Amino acid sequence: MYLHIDQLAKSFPHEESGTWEVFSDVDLSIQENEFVSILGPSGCGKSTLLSMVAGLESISKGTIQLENEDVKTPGPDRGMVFQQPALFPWLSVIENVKFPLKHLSKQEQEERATKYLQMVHLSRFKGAYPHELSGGMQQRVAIARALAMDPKVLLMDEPFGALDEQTRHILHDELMKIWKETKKTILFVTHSISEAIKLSDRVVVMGTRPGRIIADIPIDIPRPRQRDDEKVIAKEREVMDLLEGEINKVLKEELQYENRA
Amino acid sequence: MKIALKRIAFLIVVVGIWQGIVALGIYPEIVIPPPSKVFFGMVDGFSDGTLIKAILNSFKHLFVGLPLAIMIGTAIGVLLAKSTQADETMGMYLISLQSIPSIVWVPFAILLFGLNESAVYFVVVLGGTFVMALNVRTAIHSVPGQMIQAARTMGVKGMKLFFKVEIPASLPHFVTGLRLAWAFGWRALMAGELLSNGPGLGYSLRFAMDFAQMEMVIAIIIIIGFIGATVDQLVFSKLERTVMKRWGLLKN
Repeated sequence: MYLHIDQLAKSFPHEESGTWEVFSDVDLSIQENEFVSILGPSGCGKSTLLSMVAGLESISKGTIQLENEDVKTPGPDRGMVFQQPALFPWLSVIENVKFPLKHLSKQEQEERATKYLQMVHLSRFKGAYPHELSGGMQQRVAIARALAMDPKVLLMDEPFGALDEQTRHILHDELMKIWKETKKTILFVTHSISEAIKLSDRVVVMGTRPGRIIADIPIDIPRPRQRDDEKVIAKEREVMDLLEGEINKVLKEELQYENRA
Repeated sequence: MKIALKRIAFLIVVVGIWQGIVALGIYPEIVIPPPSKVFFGMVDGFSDGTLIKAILNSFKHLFVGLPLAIMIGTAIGVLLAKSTQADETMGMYLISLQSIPSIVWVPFAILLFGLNESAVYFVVVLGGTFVMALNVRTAIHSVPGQMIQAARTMGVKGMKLFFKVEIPASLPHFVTGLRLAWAFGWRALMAGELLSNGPGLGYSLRFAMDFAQMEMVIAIIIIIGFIGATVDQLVFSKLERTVMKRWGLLKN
């Protein structure tokens, strides 16, 4: 297995109960060049899980292995794209993409940065500053910056969540193209069912309280996938039914709390 | 252009009211001199060199005191932002020190250093240091967490993370700190010179008071306000706007 998550658990110290568990017993295996989405209601720990793979969050229990090597700290073998572009405003677009490449020669930096900016169709804006670009363009720079490190895995944490519908669809198509071109392994966190089904080879559905994996659904629909395709609609329904129980659980708990108070 | 006209018109009205009050003759000229007398007092002061000497000396105090305040303030600010231990121990006191008007330090400085320029430098440094320290602390605290996380996923950590990401990311607040350190330093300087020894604008002001030269007192107040506003507009506000614009914090 390329990326292997085994018996992973995350807990935080908690004032009342001693520890508060986000999720536990998470097993997940991802193959090279696979596009896997993690889908779940808020609070299920999907973003925490991704941060742990990135090495930004510590592991409470279990292991994460990438090509048989333990993941403990952040490293350039795992590129990450956040919900906010998190670009450096004092650097131009091309300088942002070169930022993780400082160990390379000047010429190599230039070549790589140019290559990935072309891939996201932004070479025209390489001298611009982040605030001069739209949100969608900024996110494409962030994707180019993550890809420029040539990571083994691309981690994406609701990367299109802050964008408008139109831009989101354009970026979906671009991401599909980039994925085919670069043959990257992508781990994609989202709370949008249709986004997960449109993009992924597999959709991993997480439940909440306690956080855990409740289903691992292969999406064997040929690409490009149309929103009105019957198979897509059937899959969406299947996932929706799975999640409905989870969302109701969260709602019920919140209502109970209100009634108690 | 329209704004400039409004401002000039306002000034003319104010001077007109002033002249009007003088013309009523209620107050003796020694208490409220006419605008013309203030103007010629200023011209005389500049032509005989006394005002120029005073201004140059005040700037000398600033050119020594302000950089010191900025350096010490930055060091304290970085320490407090980076060490929770230090912040919990001293952070509270920094806020109380900042709330002390700088004129309060003048008697302390005079007793400590005597009636000389050292006392003035001391007050200027104190005046700028605390506000700088508070702003540098805020500057470093306000670096977006996701920007640091993004840098970490690119393998940047430790000192490199501090110098390549945190420092440039905190520059807008840092520049605001500079502007405030200048403003507070300028006020502290006037307080220090007023009560301590000359030469300097503040000292000239007290000298004029001692000799009951109201036209000179008003002239120097105008000069102090003019220099304060001009340096702020031409140097610090400009710098702040340039940085904010580049950092995308200011539209158009």
